[in-house]
Amino acid sequence: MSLKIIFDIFSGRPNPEMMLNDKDAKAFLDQLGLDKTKTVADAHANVETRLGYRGIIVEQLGAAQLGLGARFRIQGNQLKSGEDAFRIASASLENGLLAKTANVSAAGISSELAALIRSEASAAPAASGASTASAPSTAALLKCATAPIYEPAWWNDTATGGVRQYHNNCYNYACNYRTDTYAQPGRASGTSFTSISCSGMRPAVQGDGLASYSPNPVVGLQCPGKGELAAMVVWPNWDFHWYRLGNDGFWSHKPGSNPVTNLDDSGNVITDPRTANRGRYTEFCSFMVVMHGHVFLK
Amino acid sequence: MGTCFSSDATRLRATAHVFSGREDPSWELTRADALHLAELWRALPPSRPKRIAVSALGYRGCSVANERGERWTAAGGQVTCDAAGAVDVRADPERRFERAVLATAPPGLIPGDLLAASRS
Repeated sequence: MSLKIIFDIFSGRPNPEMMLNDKDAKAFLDQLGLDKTKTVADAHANVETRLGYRGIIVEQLGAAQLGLGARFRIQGNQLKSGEDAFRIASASLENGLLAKTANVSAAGISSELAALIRSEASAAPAASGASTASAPSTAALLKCATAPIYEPAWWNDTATGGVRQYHNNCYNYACNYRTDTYAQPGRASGTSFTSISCSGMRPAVQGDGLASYSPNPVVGLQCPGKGELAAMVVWPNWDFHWYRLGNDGFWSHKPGSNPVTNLDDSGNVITDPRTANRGRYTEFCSFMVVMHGHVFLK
Repeated sequence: MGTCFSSDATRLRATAHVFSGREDPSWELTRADALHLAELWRALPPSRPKRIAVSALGYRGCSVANERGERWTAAGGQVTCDAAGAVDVRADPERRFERAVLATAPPGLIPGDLLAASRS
């Protein structure tokens, strides 16, 4: 009996896979420390629909062992097989699997990719017993009278040619400012950003007329006296991204030339961009205020 | 079959659909790369279009366009060519076409882990 181990990490790309021979497969299954009396409710809810690391998928090639299905998923210390979910003794199985250099090499997993898997596995949110897509409480939503209406259909116009959707990005959307030029911070003011970092982006954004949100909140947010709230985040060294607060209290965004959405990368409505699943855009920079008539994008 | 890759004479430009704020990275392909992609494309079996789930943020696939306006989009194990409105869809479960496109990106243009994945 051998096992196929699939590191479920990519969305658009094929997931890396590794084969375990009889001996390694037995050791791996023994290592799980599976106790089927330790069931958990609703484990891995919505794991499959997340972006980013979603755990290990194990395919049993041959007679299935441990009373598990031919294919099951492990994330953290939880294992899901069919409709059954159990707590297991081991966690961080990825480290052990990726330490077997012969298997890693045979699978064609580069050291860079192995490092990425380890990193993503350690950072992945734990499978919880509660659905992560449950509707949030609306009691804590910040509803600002000056905030724009959430009207994705206006931006998502592919049915009529897609000029707005394809030629306006997250920055356009967050500023509620259509340019059809894929606006870049600082292009209008001639203050190009110096690096793709919070500190490198800020002068360019301020040059375009966005105002600092003061005081920068540690926990709570308040409506600005004038203008609309936006939030800047970065994927360090690679890209920036923006969110805006709607008058319904939810945040929304426009990922590049893709449609406007009020969902994060976990499929949850966004009540706070600081805590939303932002994928690779790991660095939250700051909230900022957009005042129409003061902001100029290009 | 459409007119996709009916001629290998035109220049190809590739784009990785990955960013949100910045323009997506784009680069020109060499003649050898273009010929290799044409070969890969021709080897792909025709397929019925399937809906591709694209991520909200981050990598969403890649595309290649030529001067005649033909455009190939590769994502989710499927490659679609749009040539003057005629759409040709091919299955690419191993994402060979997509990976081949990403592998042609000049160093430093796209995030390293995308390149690593394209090579693994």
